[in-house]
Amino acid sequence: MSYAQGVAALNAKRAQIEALREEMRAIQAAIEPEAVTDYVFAGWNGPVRLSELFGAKRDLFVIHNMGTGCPACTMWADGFNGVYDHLADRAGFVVSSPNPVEIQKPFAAGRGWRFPMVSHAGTTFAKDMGYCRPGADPVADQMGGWYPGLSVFQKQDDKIVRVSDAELGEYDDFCSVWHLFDLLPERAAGWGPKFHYA
Amino acid sequence: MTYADVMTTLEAKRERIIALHGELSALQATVEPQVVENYLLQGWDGPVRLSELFGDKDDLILIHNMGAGCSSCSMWADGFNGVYDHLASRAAFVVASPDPIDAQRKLAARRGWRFPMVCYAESPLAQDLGYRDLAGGNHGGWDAGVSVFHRNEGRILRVSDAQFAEFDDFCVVYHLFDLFPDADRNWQPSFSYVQEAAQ
Repeated sequence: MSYAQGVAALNAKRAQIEALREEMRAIQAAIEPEAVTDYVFAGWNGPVRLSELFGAKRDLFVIHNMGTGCPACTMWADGFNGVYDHLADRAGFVVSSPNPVEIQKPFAAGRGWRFPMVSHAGTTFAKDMGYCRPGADPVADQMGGWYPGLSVFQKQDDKIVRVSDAELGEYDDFCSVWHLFDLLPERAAGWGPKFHYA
Repeated sequence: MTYADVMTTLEAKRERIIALHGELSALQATVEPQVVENYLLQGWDGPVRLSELFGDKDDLILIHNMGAGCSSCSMWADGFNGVYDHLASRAAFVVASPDPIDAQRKLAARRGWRFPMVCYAESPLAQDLGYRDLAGGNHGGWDAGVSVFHRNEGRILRVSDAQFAEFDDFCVVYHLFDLFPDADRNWQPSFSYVQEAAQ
């Protein structure tokens, strides 16, 4: 098919995706949020409660990052870091990982990360949110049973509720890299994210 | 609807979207690439040819950025900047805008951008490839998107392109904001944000 015909066909396909997104918004709007407890994390300046992570905002994103052993989680975080100011204008935005704070600090500095981080080690937070599932998958178990994702919270009166969550993975809506590589003639061609490239 | 039911339903929709992305790339593979000329552009160290932007790669991702007047284009670029090392390991990655080099240097320094930039104000590249409408529109008729080029036996081919728009695949911000049940559709990107005082 000619390039011009291709543009029309591809745009029709993209319109199908946009129609699905519209359906998803209606479904998301009908949710009964789930109340969550005011977890205590290890923050960079000492213990910090989930309620404190909101800062001045009503809404909060918490990224379930698997820690310094996961190059993919690191790439997703690099992307969030790029648009952090934009995200932080709309909501609190915090990256949570199982690493102790002493590990998080040098790792974040090495990558130039600007977002706040907390450690959920020793809490039931990730498990309760569905992002720690020991025994579910042998490969994941080798990485501590953690899964990558994000949870979205709102403050409602004096309660905290979770209004949404999503797993992170290749070709999701939360990392542009795979979609850009999809435009290349050979797509990703076996490419995988690394911490550093020679 | 209960939280669990909503998540199950949304997960099925997300899987369908990922399947549609697979269909998109299968369709893309059937499209005949366009042969394009070896355009002369303005680089930060002087004139540079499109062919030189490939570096040691055979593929080139060129962002059509509308310049320092477009806060949305800057937000998309901020996102690419975050993952620049990852992108640059697979393909050459360059941001083109109509701004003069001096203006590009200032904007890039202020935003901490690390990717290479070129000015294509005097080149027909954007118009030829559908990212400038000389008949008008806002911002001098410039449009925002991405073109992907492949070099093969001395020729340069454009293999694909995509326009940028809210909720596209190339900026995560709107998708994150879409996770709120009462999504605020009025949020707009700015070049910088005033820190609100803590409550």
